[in-house]
Amino acid sequence: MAPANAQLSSQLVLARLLAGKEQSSFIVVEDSLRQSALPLVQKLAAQSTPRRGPPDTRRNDLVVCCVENPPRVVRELFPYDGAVFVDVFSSYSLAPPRTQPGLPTATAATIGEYLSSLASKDVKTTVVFDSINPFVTHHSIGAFARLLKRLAGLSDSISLILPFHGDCVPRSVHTLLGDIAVTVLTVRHAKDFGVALGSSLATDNGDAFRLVDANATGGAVVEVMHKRKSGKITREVAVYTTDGDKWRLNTLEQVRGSEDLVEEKKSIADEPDPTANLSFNLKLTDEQRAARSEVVLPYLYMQQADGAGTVQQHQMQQPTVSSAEAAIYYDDDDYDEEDPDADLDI
Amino acid sequence: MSFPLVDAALNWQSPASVQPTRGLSSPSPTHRRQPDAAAVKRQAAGASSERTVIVVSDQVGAEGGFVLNHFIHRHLRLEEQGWIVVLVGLAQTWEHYLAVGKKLGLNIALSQQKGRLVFLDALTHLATGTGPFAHNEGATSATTAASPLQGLLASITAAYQACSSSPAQKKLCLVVDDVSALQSCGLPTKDVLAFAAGCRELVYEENGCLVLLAHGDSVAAGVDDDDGSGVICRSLIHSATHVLHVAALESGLTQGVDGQITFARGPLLRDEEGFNPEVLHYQITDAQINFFKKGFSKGLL
Repeated sequence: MAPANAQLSSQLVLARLLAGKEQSSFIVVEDSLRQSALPLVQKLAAQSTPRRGPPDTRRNDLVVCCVENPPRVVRELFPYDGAVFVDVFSSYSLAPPRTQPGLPTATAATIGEYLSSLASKDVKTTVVFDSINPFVTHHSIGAFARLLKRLAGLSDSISLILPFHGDCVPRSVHTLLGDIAVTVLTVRHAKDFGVALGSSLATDNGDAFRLVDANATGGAVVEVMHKRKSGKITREVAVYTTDGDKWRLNTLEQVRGSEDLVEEKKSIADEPDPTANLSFNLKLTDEQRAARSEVVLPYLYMQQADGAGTVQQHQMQQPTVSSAEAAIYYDDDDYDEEDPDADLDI
Repeated sequence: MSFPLVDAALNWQSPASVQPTRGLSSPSPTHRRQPDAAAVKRQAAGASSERTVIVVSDQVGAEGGFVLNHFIHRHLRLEEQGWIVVLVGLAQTWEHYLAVGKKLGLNIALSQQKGRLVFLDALTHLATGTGPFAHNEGATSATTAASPLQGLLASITAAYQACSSSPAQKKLCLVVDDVSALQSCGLPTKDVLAFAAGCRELVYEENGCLVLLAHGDSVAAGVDDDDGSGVICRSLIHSATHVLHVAALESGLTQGVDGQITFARGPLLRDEEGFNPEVLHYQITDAQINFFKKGFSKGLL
């Protein structure tokens, strides 16, 4: 990546959030059936993982609230040492509750109180939910709004990351979350923006999104809306691409530009050579090419304009100018000025 | 009968590679050719179906119930691995599954006698609240105290635990046909989703496989629905590892092809599973179901 592009990428709000250089106390992450936000949420949570060392030197704590998926599954999704898991899932499942040692449980009514008890002035605590959709499904919009208000009013040392599935909730929930959040990250499939990332380049599914393209692993587009403390609102469209554990962030323009370059290189490289598989030889060696250039072609009229604008005709002479400089002079003897269209008569 | 091509698409080890096949349908010549070198190679290193949640979404005009037979038969054939199939019939009766099983070459009544298949007739008993719905013991949560689905989930758990296998080897394959019927019967969306959440928890506890059929017309069309039926399907897909979209052929009617199945990646599928999303075509005949790679149908060749 060019240095200018690298500098531009590092200035992205998303890049600063993932690097821990920008703080946001309330991040809402929206996804859909087309593209899951799970990799992005995992990356955000990884940035907040507890630093190893004695408790008094730790700067971050990570609390993962299991709401949509069983704690057993969420533990695998967020395999970070020192993370605290809270079971909210049991209150939204018909299965009889299973008490697991060391796994605190909470409900929508008690989660705020529980999280505030974890808050500490010295340690920055990041609270990640696997999804907040069950809150919307099982409670009224009013109760959900009160829950959000309670979460937003927690201690300043607590940062919240709340993912939700935008295609499963009413429009009012989008508005509510957009109003209360400091940062809204909307994860979209790359094909929605006409770009192909990672492994999707290799597929032959065309440019339009199809169901088979869902949840691409190569990367996604993230629409970012970030409210700064000064009141300024920053909007940007970032693209993340993943290759294993390596993450790369770019702007959409950068990706589109590099994609054009890739396409251009590809078209030149992939252009078939018609002389490749012939049973006879159509190519010339350098010696043959030099010999050919020395051949004097008979009856070649080369017209060369001199400084005065007159035309001199040289016969039996080897061409000395390129074809780009040559011109064709046509003298029509049959041209009749009184009837210019005479040649059209049948 | 199970379908090697479906197993290959899911990157699962085919039962055929575990034990010799009997009563396997004789699909078209293209089908016999289909498990090509790449598919066989993938199957050899394929993952198992443990700890998977599969959502089958279908549409009007392209019903996905036939796909469930693959998962039922596949896990019944993996007898030595301790799979026990619990089939919750909300759309069809026992006689239907029995007849379809016979056509496809598997006597599921025999499996039921052996204690490897349990059928819960939820369709018949849903209105009366009896049968599997009468199993109302167990704890209740505050939001779903009166839901009859709590009894159904308790019946599923009890039926699985009563099956004869050594507890160390038992694995649960839970097939629900279909979840949308619960909503059609008047049960609230939150109860249906809580039931599905309970099923997922049970399956993860038992290292099993959960297969849910739901109607997803609005999902495929990418539009919002008025009655909220799409919310259930979409919510289920958000918690799935694999998603199978059954739809009519997108290019229109073609001789020899009845529709297509899209094998899509679910949000919870781990990268190391080595799953490659793809689309297969299928044809349902009187006696069998044939799957093809795109363009390999007998009607096209």
